[in-house]
Amino acid sequence: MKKILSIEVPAEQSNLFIIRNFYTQSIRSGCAAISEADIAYMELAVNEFCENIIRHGYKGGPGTINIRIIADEDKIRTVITDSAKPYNILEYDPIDKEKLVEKGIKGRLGIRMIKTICDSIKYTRLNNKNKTVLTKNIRAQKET
Amino acid sequence: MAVTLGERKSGDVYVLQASGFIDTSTVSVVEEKITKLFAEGKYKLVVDLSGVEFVSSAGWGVFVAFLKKMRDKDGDLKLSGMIEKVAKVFTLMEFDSLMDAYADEDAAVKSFSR
Repeated sequence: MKKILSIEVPAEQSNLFIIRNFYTQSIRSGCAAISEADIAYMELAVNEFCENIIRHGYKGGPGTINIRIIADEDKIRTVITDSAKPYNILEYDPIDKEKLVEKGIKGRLGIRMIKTICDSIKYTRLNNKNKTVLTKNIRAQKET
Repeated sequence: MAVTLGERKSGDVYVLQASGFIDTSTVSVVEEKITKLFAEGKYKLVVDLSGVEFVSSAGWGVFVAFLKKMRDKDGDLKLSGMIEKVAKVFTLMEFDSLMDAYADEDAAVKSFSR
């Protein structure tokens, strides 16, 4: 049975903790088959995406982030909507991990994490809003 | 709970015991501490994560950024005590091929003497 939950918060770094708590509780209760590993992965992916919106989209300025979770039996779709400048994650390549060490780069890991974790990512820009859908397919059995 | 840091010394190895969560809102605390230790010539560092429930890219990025710096000084930055959900991310993102991690801080400290 499909379950839909949503939250809208001001785009502030201090709210990432709230987003993570809401998100993990929602998908744990909304999708009985999801493993703790997948919960941890998606918590990270959503955190990274929202962090990008706050830092690079709104650049620390005012704005909101809306997160809608659509939990099906076989997948979790997370729809993230914001009014920041256009940002299509699909246009950015993830950084190679060896380069991180060699060059001592601190940033750009988030995109790599999101793209590694999510099974599909869709982006649309409509009415001056970014809408990104992160989809995670659910494995049939819980991991131990 | 944000992040708190404890510190202990074992021989020439320093252990940073972190608790809470490390994300973009708290990472500066960790980064400033490691920067300070590095500036003081403490190049053998264990970051114990047994009390850390979440690490974002901001936190992983700081650990990775200091790896080469420490190794260039014949030291290293090693992790210990990751809880399962943090360890899962560590493995998924293949950080295990970049840096050493141990079950507990004693094992991590001992690894410096091998």
